[in-house]
Amino acid sequence: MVDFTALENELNTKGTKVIYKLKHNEQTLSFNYENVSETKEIMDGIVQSYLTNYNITSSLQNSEYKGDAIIENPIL
Amino acid sequence: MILSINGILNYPNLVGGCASVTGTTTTYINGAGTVLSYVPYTGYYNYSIGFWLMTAAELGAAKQFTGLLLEKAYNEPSGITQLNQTIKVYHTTATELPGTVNTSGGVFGSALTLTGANAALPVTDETVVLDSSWYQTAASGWKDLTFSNNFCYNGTDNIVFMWINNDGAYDISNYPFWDTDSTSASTNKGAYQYSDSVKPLSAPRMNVRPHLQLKH
Repeated sequence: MVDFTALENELNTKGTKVIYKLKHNEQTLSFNYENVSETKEIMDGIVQSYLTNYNITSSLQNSEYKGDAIIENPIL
Repeated sequence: MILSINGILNYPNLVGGCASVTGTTTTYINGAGTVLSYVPYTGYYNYSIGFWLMTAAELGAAKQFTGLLLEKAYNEPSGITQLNQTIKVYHTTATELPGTVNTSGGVFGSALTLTGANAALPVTDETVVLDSSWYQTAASGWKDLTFSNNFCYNGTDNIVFMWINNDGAYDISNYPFWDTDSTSASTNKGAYQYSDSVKPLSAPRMNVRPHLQLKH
């Protein structure tokens, strides 16, 4: 069981939340944080540590960390 | 009875150098892969650019392509209109994409071209098949896009698609997720890049292509 609340709380310590949105019965997560000072690798590591069975796509540009995570074996 | 005009004797279905439209839809790419939001384009970023290569072995005989369909993975709350979409199709003799796919033309948008942009990706017969908006409905499944200009596939070469998303905005609630193919058939045949702040003029090669049907 993924602790999405804990992930959100940890990301909230790393930047200013713009989007943190679970969709498709928790099969996808869209996130966007501004004012992030950590590296992309560190941010990806945080997300990946919670979402071990998800494929994560992200970018970090101009201190904005943005991306989405999609469960590996989606139920479509 | 004259059977040969301009050398088309061996291709009775060719009219004016282009195969006739048969009203057929064929699934060309449908292998196993992950669901992704950025292949072949993304509605989650302001700008994106995507490329994928398809081989003559996949495409078969000469055809006149009139549209494409992408496979949307999830139902979304609402449909979505993608503004300022440009899709160009080319013939190529290359069998895979270069490590980085570059463009020329300088200004992001419909002026971008693959012509002369990559030594390892020679292209000919550039055809702008779409240069407008595209609306897709909310439901999952195959999403239909009709070309404004058809692409005349010659039945011999490989082809490359270039998809430029110059919308300039994104929709967090309704952006689509796409089914993709990452089997060996797609190795070195895709390239994608996206950004909110930088309009991408090139893309790194990847081993993934969108699930794809073509109308012909």
